[in-house]
Formats: sequence, C-alpha cells, structure tokens
Amino acid sequence: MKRNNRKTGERGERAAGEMLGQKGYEIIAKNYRNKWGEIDIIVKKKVRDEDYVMFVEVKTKADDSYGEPWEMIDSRKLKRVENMGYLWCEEFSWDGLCRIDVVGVWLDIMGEVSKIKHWENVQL
Amino acid sequence: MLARVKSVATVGLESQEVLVEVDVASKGFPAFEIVGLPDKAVGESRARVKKAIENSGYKFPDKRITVNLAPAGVRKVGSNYDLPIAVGILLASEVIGVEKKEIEGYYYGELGLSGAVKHSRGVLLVGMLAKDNGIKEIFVPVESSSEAAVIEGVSVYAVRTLGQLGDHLSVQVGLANNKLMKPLSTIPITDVTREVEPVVDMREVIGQELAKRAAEISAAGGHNLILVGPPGAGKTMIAKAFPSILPPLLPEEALEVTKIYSVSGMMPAGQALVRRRPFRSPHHTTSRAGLIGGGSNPMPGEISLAHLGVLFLDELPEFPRSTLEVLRQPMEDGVVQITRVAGKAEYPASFLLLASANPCPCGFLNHPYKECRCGERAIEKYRKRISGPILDRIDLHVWVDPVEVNKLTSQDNSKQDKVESRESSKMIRERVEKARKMQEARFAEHNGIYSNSQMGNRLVKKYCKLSSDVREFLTTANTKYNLSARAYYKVIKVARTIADLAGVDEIGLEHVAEAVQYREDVW
Repeated sequence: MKRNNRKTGERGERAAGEMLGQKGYEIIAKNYRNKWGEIDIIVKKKVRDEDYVMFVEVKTKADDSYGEPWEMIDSRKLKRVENMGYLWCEEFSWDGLCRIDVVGVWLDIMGEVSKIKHWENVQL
Repeated sequence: MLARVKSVATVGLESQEVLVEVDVASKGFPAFEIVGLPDKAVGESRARVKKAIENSGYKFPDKRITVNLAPAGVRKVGSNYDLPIAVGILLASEVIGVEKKEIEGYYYGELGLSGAVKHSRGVLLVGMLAKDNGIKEIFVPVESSSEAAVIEGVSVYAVRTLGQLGDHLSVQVGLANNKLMKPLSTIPITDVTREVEPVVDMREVIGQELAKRAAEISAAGGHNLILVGPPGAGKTMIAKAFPSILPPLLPEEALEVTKIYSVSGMMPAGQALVRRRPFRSPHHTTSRAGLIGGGSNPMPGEISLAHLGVLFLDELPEFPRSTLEVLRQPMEDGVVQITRVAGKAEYPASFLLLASANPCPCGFLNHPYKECRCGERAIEKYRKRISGPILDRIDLHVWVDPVEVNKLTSQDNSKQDKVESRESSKMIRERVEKARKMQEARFAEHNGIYSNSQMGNRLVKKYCKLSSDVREFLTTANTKYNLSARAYYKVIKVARTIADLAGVDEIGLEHVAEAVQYREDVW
C-alpha cells in the first residue's frame, strides 16, 4: 500500500513537471527537502515583467473516493510550504518575489493521467 | 514601493487626520495585512478592497502588502478606510501609472465588491477637518458628498466608483483624457427650508387654549413643557402639532445638527443638511444607552439626535425612573459625555423636553365628571415615578382638562369654535419666529446659544433686567410656590420669552405673572 502511494505521487509529480515545462516555467529543483519538510517542485517564471519563484505542491489522486485534490491542502500545509520556501530563498540567495502554486493530478485505474489542473498563487 | 494617502478618523464629534501608508514589497510571498489598531470592520476591508480593485479592471498585486494606519495609537473604526487603502495600493503597485506616491487631499469612504463607493457616515466632519487643516480637496462617496459641499473653500469630489477615481488620478499625469472629475459647487447653508404640511395642525386641536399658549411659549424660547391630564384630552395631539409651530433651524444650528446626524449615519443619501428642527419621540422601553448614547464606540442617543429640537416623551411616568434620571445632567448642561473602555465622546444635547402624563394610573384624577378609581397608595406610587429634580427642570407645567363633549359635536353650528376661527399652526409659528429673531439678535455674540432656555445664570442677569415691582412680585411668588433657585431663574427665562412674544424689550409684571402661573403644581 505504502509503495503504491509513493508510485502514485511520483507519477503525478512527473506529469506536473511536464505540464509546467510546457507552460513556460523554468524548473529549478524537484523534491527539495531537508529535515523540516519537502517542496515537490520549484519553478521560475516572469509574470508581468517581474521574476517570481513558485513553490509548487503537487497533489495526486488515484481514485475519487477521498474527495478532490484541493481538499488535501489546508492553511497548515500552505504555511509549511511557505516556511520551506523561505529556507530555500536563504539557501539559494533569492531576494525577490515568491508565490505558492498547487497542481492537481487525477489518475485513472490504469495509472494514466486523466486530468491535470494548475492553481496559481494559492492563499487561504 | 511605498505610497501615502490621507484620511480621517472620527471619535464622537472629534476628527483627526490619519495617514494611510501602503507598502507593496518586491520580495516574499503574497499577503495583505493592516496594522495600526484597526477594528473588525477595518480588518474586513481587505476582502472588500481586493475585490473592488479587481472588479474595477485593475490587477490586484500578487505581492506582500502592508498597510499602516498612523497614528497607530488611535483606534480605527468603520469601513471608511476602504477608499484610501485601495488608492494607496493602486499608487504603490503603480497600476494607474501615477508616479507620485504621496497625494494631497482626504480620501474617505466604504467600497462595495463591485468597486462602487458607498454612502458613508461622518462626511461632514471630513469636510470640516479639511478646512481646518488647509487641505484643498476631498474625495468622498457621491451619496454623502452634499454633506461636505456646504463647507466653503474645500473642493469636494463626489466619487461614484474606484475606477472613476483611478481615471481621475491618472489623468493628472496625462495618461487618459476627458476623465477628470469636477468638484461640486458649494451648497449655501442659508437656503431656507421648504414648508412641509404638518401631520396635525394646531387648528385641529379643540379648546385647550392654555396648553396651546404654553406650547407657543415653549417653542418660542425652547422651554421644557409637561402636559398632564386625563386620557383623550388632546395631550398627544398637541405634541403631534408641535413640530408645525417650531421655527426653522438657523444656518449655524443646521450645521450643528447635521454633524450629529452625519456621525450617526442617519443622513439620507444626497441630502446636504438637516433643515428641519429634530423631533424625536422614543418609546418608553428605550434603554438608557439608547436615550443618552452609548455603545463600545459611543454613538449619539435620542437626546443628542434631538439637539436644538424636541425630545417628546409620551406617557412620561411609563419610562423607568432610572432611565429618566440620566436626563438630569444633560438637561442642565446641554451636553452629554459618554465614557466607555474603548474611548469617550462628548455630544451636544440641548433639547426641549416635551412630556405628557396622566395624573394617576386610571387617568381620571381631578376629572370634572368622571370618578378616579385609584387607591391612595396606587396614586402615591405613580407619583413617585417622576422625581422632583426632573420636574424642577421643566419650565412649563400645564394641566389639560378634558374636552367638553358638546364642543366636539356642535362643531358646525357654534360660531365661536369653528375650525376656521381657531388659530392655525402657521399663525402661531409666525409669532414664534418673531420671538426667535429677537433672541437671535440678543445672542449674536454668544456662540452656541440660540434661545432663552439656553441662558446660564450670568446671561439671565445680563439680559433679563427686572424692575423693582417685578422683583417684589417674584419674591412673593417665591414664598408662595417655594421655588428652588433653578426654578426661580427658569421663571425669569420664561418671562423673557413671553416678553419676546409680545415684542417687548423689558420684562413686565404681566410677563412674570404668566410665567409663574406655569409653575403651578399639576403633578
């Protein structure tokens, strides 16, 4: 069961990374982690002439039984991503604009991506 | 980027300038916070401002926004900071292309989600503060803008939407054209009131000449009046006709009254000034705070809403005694101070108390034909509901006898008492206005004093010179009625009004004699 979950997650993160790349985001890092947590994907893009670094949280669903991906994001989770973001900024000396994005990935029974959705600048 | 916009904070009738500083950071995660002692409504303005900016066609910045309302020690209450905060964000995030980050003028008003600027309270005070501080222009909601338009020397811009204001600001740097707003033209405060059809005309009141005369004196000098009598005698009817004999507000008076109504949020949209003398008739279940004012952010109560007008307390004994006793101090001083943990406020409350009462629980005590069925104890208990100190503060005490039935029925044939032969409210009001004119001239150099009833003892001595025989008469009356010092001065003030009604400069014996007659014990 555990292994299966990890596989699902990896599949979703791969799909999310491809999608962001197609949308013109420059992928800086994947699975940035330290002892306090993990950020799934870190990307960079110009928005209205200003450089943003986006910290992307990917949520993958293999079946419908547990609700929608965004229902798994709460303010605590966002706060954790934000704090991790600050650590990343510190480590890589980024002194600019940041934001948090969420990508939801739906998988069908065969493990194929059936739907993918990108929420920009998520705030609760 | 940092932008600075000015606005106004109001506590009671006092207002002060507030600097709204907006910082839009170019690093970190998006956020939106307001500091500087905001209350709940100011905190909620984040949601309104964000949606209003987006729905006005601008992009709300995905950046860290910090708003500071300075001075930070003053509590910021209400939704009026929406507009300055929104303007500050537009300036700081450079979406409207205005390079200037500090703009002159006061910005004040609540925003709707659509970007519409809504009717807000206290706009008159914004205009007044702008004038005092030498601010040239103010931007206020269109519906409340006429209130401020009475202030001369300040350009008042009536803002309909945030988008319109954004256009106006960017036009100033030459980005767009034809979109410059024009200030309102000043509304003269001396405009006369248009006459309104009274609900009840004094002409409709049958008989009751004494009560009508007392009402005339009361209206002319602003004296307190109590009408005591059996049910159905016409007390309430006289009270209802009372507004129709009141003189119109003087311009300075209108400004004072409008200030109170503006702060209470009771100004109708689009109206510049309260032009009619207030007439408030709170129900006897009104709480003490409702009567004198209160709330954690103290708001004016009924007595302040009746400032320079009439506070009508129908069935006075039905009011709880504790409620009535709070009237004692404001009746004397003409102002009320309300202190709460969150702050204190002082509101003017110089009102004319008009009261009515039955003589006993059943109402028929001293009735010429009907028998009173109340026990001694019941009457005594009833009498205690109005305290001596309150009665002492009432200048005119009048007994209202029941109307004789044949007067009601023989209306058509009796020549004496036809509706047409009785005096109309208009005729009485003309006399009242003449008496007020004399008072206006008398108190021209005294700020905030408009009628005889507002005179302090020093002014009584100055303006009510008594001849020796009048003085002698008063001494006799004093021993007969056992007048208190306050009542003594009140008699002189009433006599002054009676002389004014007669158009006489000197108070004569007949004036004092009539005034003393209204101190008769009717309660």
